[in-house]
Amino acid sequence: MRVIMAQKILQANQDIAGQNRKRLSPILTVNLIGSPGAGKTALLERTIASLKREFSVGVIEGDIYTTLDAERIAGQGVQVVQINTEGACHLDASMVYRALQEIDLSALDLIFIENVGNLVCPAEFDLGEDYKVALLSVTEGSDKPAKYPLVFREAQAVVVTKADLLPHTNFDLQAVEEEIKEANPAVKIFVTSAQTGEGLEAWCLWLKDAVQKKKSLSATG
Amino acid sequence: MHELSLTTELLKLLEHDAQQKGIKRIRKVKLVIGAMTSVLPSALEFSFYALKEGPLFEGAQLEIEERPGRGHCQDCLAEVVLDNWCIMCPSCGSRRVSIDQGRELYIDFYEGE
Repeated sequence: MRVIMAQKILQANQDIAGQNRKRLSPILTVNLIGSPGAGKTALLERTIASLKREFSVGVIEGDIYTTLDAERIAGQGVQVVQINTEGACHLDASMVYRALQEIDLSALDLIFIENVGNLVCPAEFDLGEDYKVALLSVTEGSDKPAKYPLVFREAQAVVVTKADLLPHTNFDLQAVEEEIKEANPAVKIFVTSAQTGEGLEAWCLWLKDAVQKKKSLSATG
Repeated sequence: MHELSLTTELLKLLEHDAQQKGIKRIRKVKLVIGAMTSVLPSALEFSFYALKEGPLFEGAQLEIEERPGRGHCQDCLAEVVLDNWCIMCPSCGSRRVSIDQGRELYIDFYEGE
């Protein structure tokens, strides 16, 4: 007998992502996606340092094996939960669901999910976040948006990192910005350096604004 | 290698559905994989035969229909065939190309008794 299923293989993930979204309702949730070494943890450290006086921040750290990043973030004195994917190249919604059990959500304004270093698979998995933010370091080269367009299409913001190294690379910032905007006209682009602090103010302002918007949206409905 | 976790999900879905319908053995599974999903059909096929176990999946064959990517240019409205992730309109060079087909990833049907 033939059973017609027409069942999406990722449907289970999407269902759990929906549950995460409900649980996270008043809390802005940002999924950070970037290559290994793009500077996700460094950006987080600087961002948390600048936002933690005003907001209560939590972090879900996705890593394949180690707890090194979680230890760095814990140094900021915020709630951190580690997810070790044991080889998997991305986080999925059920991993985040389990991590959320470990966090006291009642006091939080903002949760960052630091995804596993990878530009391909994380773009395919909805975690229940509000925003996907793609990181691109200038040392990775200008060709990344052309090579990995899905993540740059799906992101609401792109953070270009390590901008202090621009003079030492052949990274064509203007061309990259134009290319990303062409495929994703609504995207916000921030050019930053966690070393010099360049661009972090604009990035943090955008986050603050988004936290407030999420709060008022949850309050009204 | 997210094909491994996708295959685990796939086998769970099939097991659950077969159990509900009283199907004891699955002979064939047909999947549709779009070209624009960053899922490698060959890796999924490998994972399927590596991970399937137990009497339910004994002798089960996997058939994969690869659905090509199609879109259209939002600037010049040309139809665009998308065969890789370098998304660009061949007529006018614009990157504002919608993906209309090729993001599919689903179980079409399975056969068993």
